[in-house]
Amino acid sequence: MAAMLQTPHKDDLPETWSFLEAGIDNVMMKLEEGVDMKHYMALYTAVHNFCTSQKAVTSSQGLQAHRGAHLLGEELYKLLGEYLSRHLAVVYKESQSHAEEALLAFYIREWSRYTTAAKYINHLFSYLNRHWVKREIDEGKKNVYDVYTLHLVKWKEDFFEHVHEKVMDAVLNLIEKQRNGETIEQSQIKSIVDSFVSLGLDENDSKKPTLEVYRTYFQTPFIAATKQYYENESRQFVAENSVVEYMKKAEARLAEEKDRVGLYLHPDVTKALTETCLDVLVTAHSNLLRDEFQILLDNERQEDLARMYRLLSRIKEGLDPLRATFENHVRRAGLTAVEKVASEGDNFEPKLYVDALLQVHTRYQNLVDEAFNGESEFVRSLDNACREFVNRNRICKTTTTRSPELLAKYTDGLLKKGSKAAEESELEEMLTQIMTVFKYIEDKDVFQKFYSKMLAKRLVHVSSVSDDAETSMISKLKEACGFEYTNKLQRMFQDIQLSKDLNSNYKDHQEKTYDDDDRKKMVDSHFQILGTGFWPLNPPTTPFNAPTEINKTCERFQQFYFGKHNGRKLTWLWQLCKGEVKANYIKNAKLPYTFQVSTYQMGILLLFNETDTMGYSDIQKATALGPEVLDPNLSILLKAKVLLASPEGAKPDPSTTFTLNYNFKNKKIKVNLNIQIKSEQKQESDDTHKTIEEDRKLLLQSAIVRVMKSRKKMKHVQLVQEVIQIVKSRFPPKISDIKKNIEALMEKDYIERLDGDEIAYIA
Amino acid sequence: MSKRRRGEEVQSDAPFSKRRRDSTGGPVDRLSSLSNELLLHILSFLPISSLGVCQRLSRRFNALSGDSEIWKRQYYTQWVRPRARRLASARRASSTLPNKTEYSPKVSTWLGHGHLASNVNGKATNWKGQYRLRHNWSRGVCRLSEVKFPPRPDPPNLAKLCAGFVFTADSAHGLRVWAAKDPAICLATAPFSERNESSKSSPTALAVCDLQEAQEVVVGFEDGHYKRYIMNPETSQLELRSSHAGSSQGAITAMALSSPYILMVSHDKILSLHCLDSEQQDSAQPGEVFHSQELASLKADNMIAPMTLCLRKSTFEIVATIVYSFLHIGCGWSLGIQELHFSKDGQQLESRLTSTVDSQYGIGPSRNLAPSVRRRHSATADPEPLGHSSAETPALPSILHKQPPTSMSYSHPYLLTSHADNTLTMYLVVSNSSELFVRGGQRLWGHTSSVSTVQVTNRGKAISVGARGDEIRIWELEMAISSLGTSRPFNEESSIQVNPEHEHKEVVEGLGLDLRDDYYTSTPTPTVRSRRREIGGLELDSDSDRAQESPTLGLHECVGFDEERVFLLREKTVGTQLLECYDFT
Amino acid sequence: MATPQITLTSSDGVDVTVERTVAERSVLIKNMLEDLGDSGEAIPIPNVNEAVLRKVIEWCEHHKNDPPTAGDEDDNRRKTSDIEEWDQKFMQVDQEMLFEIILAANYLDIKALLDVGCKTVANMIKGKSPEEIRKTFNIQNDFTPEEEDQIRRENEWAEE
Repeated sequence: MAAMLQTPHKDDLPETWSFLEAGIDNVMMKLEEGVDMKHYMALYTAVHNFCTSQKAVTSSQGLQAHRGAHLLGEELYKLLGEYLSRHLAVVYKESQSHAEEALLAFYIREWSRYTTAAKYINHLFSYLNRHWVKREIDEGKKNVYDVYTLHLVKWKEDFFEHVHEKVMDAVLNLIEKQRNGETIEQSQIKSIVDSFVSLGLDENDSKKPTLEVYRTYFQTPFIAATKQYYENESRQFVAENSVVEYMKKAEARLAEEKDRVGLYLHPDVTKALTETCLDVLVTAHSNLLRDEFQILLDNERQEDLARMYRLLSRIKEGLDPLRATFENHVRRAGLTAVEKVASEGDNFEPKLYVDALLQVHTRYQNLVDEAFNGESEFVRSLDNACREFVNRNRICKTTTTRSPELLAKYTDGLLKKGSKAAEESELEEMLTQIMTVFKYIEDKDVFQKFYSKMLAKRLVHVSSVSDDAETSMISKLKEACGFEYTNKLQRMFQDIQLSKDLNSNYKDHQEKTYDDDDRKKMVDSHFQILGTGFWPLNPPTTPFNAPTEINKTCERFQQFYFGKHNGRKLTWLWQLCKGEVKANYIKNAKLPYTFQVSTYQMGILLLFNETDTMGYSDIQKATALGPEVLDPNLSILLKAKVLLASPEGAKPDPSTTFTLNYNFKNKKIKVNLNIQIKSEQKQESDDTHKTIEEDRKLLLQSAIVRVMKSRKKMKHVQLVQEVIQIVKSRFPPKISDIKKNIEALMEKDYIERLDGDEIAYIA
Repeated sequence: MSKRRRGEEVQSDAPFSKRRRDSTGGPVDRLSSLSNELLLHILSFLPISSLGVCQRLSRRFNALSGDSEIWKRQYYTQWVRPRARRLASARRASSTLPNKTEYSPKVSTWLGHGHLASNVNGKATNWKGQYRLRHNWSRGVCRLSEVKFPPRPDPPNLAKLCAGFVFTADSAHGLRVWAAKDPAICLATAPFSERNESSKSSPTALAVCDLQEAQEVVVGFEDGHYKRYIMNPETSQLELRSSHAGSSQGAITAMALSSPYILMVSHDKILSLHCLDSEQQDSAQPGEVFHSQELASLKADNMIAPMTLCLRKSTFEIVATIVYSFLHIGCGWSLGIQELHFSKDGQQLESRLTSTVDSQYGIGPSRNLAPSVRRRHSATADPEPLGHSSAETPALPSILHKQPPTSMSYSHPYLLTSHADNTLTMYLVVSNSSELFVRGGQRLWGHTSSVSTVQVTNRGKAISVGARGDEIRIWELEMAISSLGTSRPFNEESSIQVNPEHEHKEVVEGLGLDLRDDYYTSTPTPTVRSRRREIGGLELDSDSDRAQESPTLGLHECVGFDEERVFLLREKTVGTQLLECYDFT
Repeated sequence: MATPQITLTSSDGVDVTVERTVAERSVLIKNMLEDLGDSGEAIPIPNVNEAVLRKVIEWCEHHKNDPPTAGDEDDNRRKTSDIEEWDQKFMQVDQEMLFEIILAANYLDIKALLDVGCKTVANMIKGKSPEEIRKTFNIQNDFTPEEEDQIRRENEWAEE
C-alpha cells in the first residue's frame, strides 16, 4: 500500500495553499494526464483540515455575541479567486495571438478545459462550499458564490469581458459565410452559445441561470448582423430579379433562419430572429409585393399568390391592402361573366346566367381556400364582391329583381320533370350551388315569390322531379332564411300530401257507398285541396259551366268532403284542372285517340257529343266562358284539327262555325292539347312583380307598427334604422319607401308625429 | 493571517486519525475541540431555552449560541412558519398552490419579514434581538418609563410616534421631538409662536410621515392654518418649512399625511386635500404664510364623530378614506366608510361608500348584499343615506352598539373600534378596483373594563387601552381574519395584556432643566377651557352630540407604537400628563 | 454480483471492502468516483482510522436503501428527539467514538449520519444546567462570575 500523501499542516495557510495551488494547477493544466485518487483525497483533505483547524478562535472581546460564529475558509476562497484571475490573465494573453476561427477554437478549448477543471475543483473544495460559502450566502452577502460559480464569475470578469467582441466578430463572420453558402463548423458556434448561456447568473440566486449574458453579448450583435446582412441581400436581389423570384428567396431565407435556431442557436433567439428577418425581408418590401398582387391575380398564379399570402400574413397588417384589390378583382370578373351572357340577347336560359355567376364564385372560392388558407377576411372580401356582382350587373340593370327571378326559374327547371340533371346526387349538388348564389341575393322576397308560384305549379300539375328534391330545397331555404320564409312553401307541400290521403279515403268511401254499376258510370277523378292562404293562386277569371259529368263528380266529392269538414268553402280552380277524353268517333283509327285537355277544353269538346257542328255563340252560351279564355282554346283545337272551322281558316269569332273532325289523325295515340298559352306566361311574371311591390309595402308597414308598438315613442331616424334592420334579410329597403309608408300609417292613424321629429304610437 | 498557534492545539496538527491521547492528564473537552461549523450544527438542534443555557458555558459557547443564523432559523420556526402555514391553508381552500413553508435563509422570501433582511447598509440584523422582541410582544413583557409634563398643558399634548421619534405638540412648548429609545431626552423643539406672530393658536391635530432620510411633520391649528416641519434625524434639527392657511377658519380636527399629500377635516366639516409641493416651497422663508396647493375641498355635513382619516397613495391615484360613525336604527352605532379617489392633480375620480351595517347583521361577505354606492365626480363628500334591504336582514344584528365607539382606527384593510362595553370590534375593509365593501365583523373580547382607545397598523397589530389606562392589550389580528364571518369566536388568547416588567418606573421630568426655565418664562397663565374631555376618563353615557362636538382629540391621537415600543400619552393625576413608553426590547 | 465492490484504505492502512452503493452514501466518495472513475484502486481515506471507518460503514450499510434526503432544510429534522431506534442504539458509544463519528461524517460528507451524531450530542445538552453540561463535556468556564451573571440575566427571558 502506497504511503499516504503528506498533507500540509492544517492551520498553516501558506503551506496549505501552496499544496492546493499545485494540485489545482494540475487539474487545470494537465487533467488529461489524469489525477489519481491519492492526490484527489489529499487535496480535499487539505481544504477540510484547514477549515476545521479552529485557527481563529472566536475573539474574546466583550460578551456581545449576536454575530456569533466565525467560520474558516475566506482565505482559501480569496486565494482561489486570485489563482483563477492569474490563470485567466495568461489565457487572455494567449488568446490575443488568435483571430477568427482559430480564436473560436481557442476559446472553446480553453472553456472546456476550464469548466471541466471547475467541476473537479468544486468537488475538491466542497467542504468550503458546504460551510463557509453557504453561511456567507445565508447571511445575505453578495459576491460570494459556490466554487463552481466562482469559476464562471471569474471567467466572465477576467476573460470574457475582454474577448467577447472579438469572439462574436468571429462567430458572425462564420454565420455570414454560411449564409453565403459555405460549409462551416456549426458545432463551434453551438459551443460558444452554450458558453455564453452558462455565464448568465442571477444576481440574487447564483443557482438560477439567466440568459442575460447571452442576450447582451450574443443575441444583440447577432440580430444586428442578421439585419444588416439581409438588408443588403434583399436590396440587391430585388434590383436584379422579379418579385416572384424574390418571394421564393425570402421564403427560403425565412425557413433557413428558422432551421438555424434548431441547429446551433439558443431557442430564446427565435422570436427576435424571426421578427428581424420578417422586418427586413418582408415588411421592408411589402409595397413591392403588393404591387405584384394584381398581376398575379390577372395571370391566375395561384402558387405565387399563396406564397405572397404566406409572407404577408406574417407581418402586421400585411394583408389588409390586398383585400380591397382582391374584392375589386372578383367583382370585375363577375361583371365580365354576366356581360358575356347578356351579350347573347335577352332570351338566354336562366341556367346560363346562374352558371356564369357560379363559375366566378367557385374559381375565387378555390383561390381563397388554396392560396389564402381560407382566411376569414378574404372570405369576406369574396362575399362582398359576389354580393355586388350578383345584385348589380348588366342583366339586373333594368329590374334589380332579375337575379332572384332567374335563379328561381333555374331552380324550377331543375325540379320539374324532364330536366336533364336526372341523377339524384347531381341534382342535390346543383341545389347546393343554387343556395350559394341565393346567399348573395339581396331581394330574397322576390325569389320567394317566384319560387312559390313555380312550386305551386309543379305540385298542382304533379310535375315535380321528386318529393325528396322538393323537401331538400325547402329545408335549404329554411336553413338560410328561417321558418317564416318557407312556411307557405311547406304548407303547400303538406296540402298535396294531405290530398293524396284524402283521395284514397274518398275511393274507399265510394266503394262503400256505390255499387259496381254506379261506379262504372262515374268519371275517374283526383282532387287536390289547396289552402287559400298558402297558395299563390287566384280563382278563375271567367265563369264556366262544367260538363254535367264533371259537375256530378264534383258534387259527389263535395258531399263527401263537407261530411268530413263542416263549414269549409271550396272554390273550384277550373283553370288548373285537366282531364283526358277518349275520342271514339274517329274513323280509320285502330285504337281510339285520347286527348289530354284542360277542363275548359273538355267543356267545349263534350258539347260535340250531342251534335257535330256548333256555332261560336252556342258554344259560348253552353260553356259560359269569356272570349279571352274561349278564343285561345278554340284556336288550339282548330290548330290540332280536332275541330274544323268554317269558313275554312277562320279565327274563332262569333261568325265562325265549328265542326268535329272525323278524320282526325295524329302520330301519337295520346294527344296533348293542354298547352299553356304564351300570353299567360308573360302575364304571370308581371303579376308576380306587382305583388312583390305590394307585399313589400305591407312588410314595411307591419315592421313600422311592430317597432312603434314596442317603443311607443321614438325619433324618425331611429325608426327608419330599426325598420331597415328588420327588413334587411328579405330585401334592401329604400329609405324613401320607408318614409312613404310611415306617412301612410300616419294617415291611417296608427302613428302620429310629435314635436322634435319624434313619432308616437297611437294605441 | 494569524500565525500558527502552538500550545494546546499542537496535538491536533496531525490528522484526526491519530486519536488524541489524554497526554496532558486532564479529561479532554471533545465538544469544544469541534470546529465552529459543527458546533453550530449541534446547536441548531436545540430549543431556545437550551441556547440561553449554552451561552453561559464559556466565551466560545456564548458567541456560538448567540449566532445570528441560529436565531434566524428559530425566528422563522417560531414567528414566520405558523403564519405561512395559516396563509397557505387559507389559500389552499381556494386554490391548489403547494404548501411551501420550508425554511429558507433568504429572509426576503419570508412573509412580510423582508424588512429584517435589510443588511445592505452593512448592518446585520440582530436575530436574537429580533426574536426577543417578538417574544416580548407576544407575552406583553416590556419595560415602562414615563415622562411627566408638569403642569398639565391645555389643551393637552398631541403625540405621534414615527421612525423612532416621538413628536409632541402643545400650545406652550410647540412641537417637540423625543428619542423613542430614551424618552427623557428632548431632541429638538420648535415653538409655535414666533415673536412676530401676535396671535397664538393651539395645535389641534398632528400628522407625521416618514420620508426615509427625514420626517415630515404637519401641525394643524385651532384657527385652521397648518404648519409643516422637517425633522432631520442626523442633526436632530426641527425646521419649519412652511405655514399655510387652511381651507376654512375652523379648527383642524383630523389629519392624514402621505407626503406630499395631506388630507384634513376642519371643525366646520370641510374636508380638503392639499399637496405640499416641497420643490416649490423650500425656498420660502419660514413663518411666511402660504396658500398651499389645495387640490380638492369638499363639504361634509353628515359626518359624525368619532371619525378617522386615512390617506393612501398608489401609482396613479390618491385614496382618501373617511371613516365616521352614525346611528343606524337597526343595529345601533355603525361605521360608514367613504373612499374618495383622486388623481395626482386632485381631480376627483370616484367616490365610493359602504358601511358596516351588513356585517353587523352577520350577513356574509356577499357582495350583492353589501353594495358600495358609487358616484363619479360628485360634488360633495356627504355620505348618502346608507340603505340596506330590510327584507334580507335578520331581525337582530349580531353586533349591536348602543353607544358610539370611543375611538376608531383604520389602517387598510383593518378597521377597529373600541367600545365602552369592554370590547373592540374589528372589520376588514375590501377595496379593489371594482368595489368597496366590509367583510365580516368580529367582536374582540379580552378587556375587563371599558376600552377607550385603539390603534392598528396595516400589518394587523393593534394596541388597545382601557379607559382607566391601566390595561393595555396587544392584538395580532391576522389570526382573527380566518375566523371572520364564521360564528367561531375569536380566540381570546390572541390578545396579550401588556405587563411592564419593572414596576419601578423610571419617572423622568419630561423637560430638561433649561427647557423648564423656558417653559416657565414663556407660558402665560393657562387659560382654562374645559371643552376638551378628560383623557382616559371619558364619560361613556355621553350622548352623540357631545361626541360630535370634539371629534378629534380622543385618546387615540395619543397612542402610538412601532416595532419596538408603545407610547401612551395620558393624564395620570389631575394636572399632569404622562408620556409612557413601553419598551419591548 | 449485484453491485461492484470498492476498497477503502483507512488512515492506519487497513483495507476495507464495501459495496459501491454503500460507500456512495458519502458524497465525497461519490463525487470522486464520478470525477475519476473506478480504477479498481483502493481509495485512501486519510482522515479516518479503521475502527471509525468500520463503524461508519456499518451505518451506511444499514441505511443504504434510504431515500435521498428530501430538501436538506427539512424542518422535522430539527426535532432533536427524532432519532430512530436503530440509530439511537448505534450511537450508544463512548464520547470519544461519538465525536469521531461526527468528524468522520462531516469529513466524508454523509449528511444524515452527521445529523444523527449532532442530534445525539444536542440531546446530551438539552435540559441540563450549565454546570451539568460543563461536567458532561469537560468544558472549562472562562467567564468571570460577573460576566456569567450578566449573561444569565440577559437570557432569563428565554427560560421556560
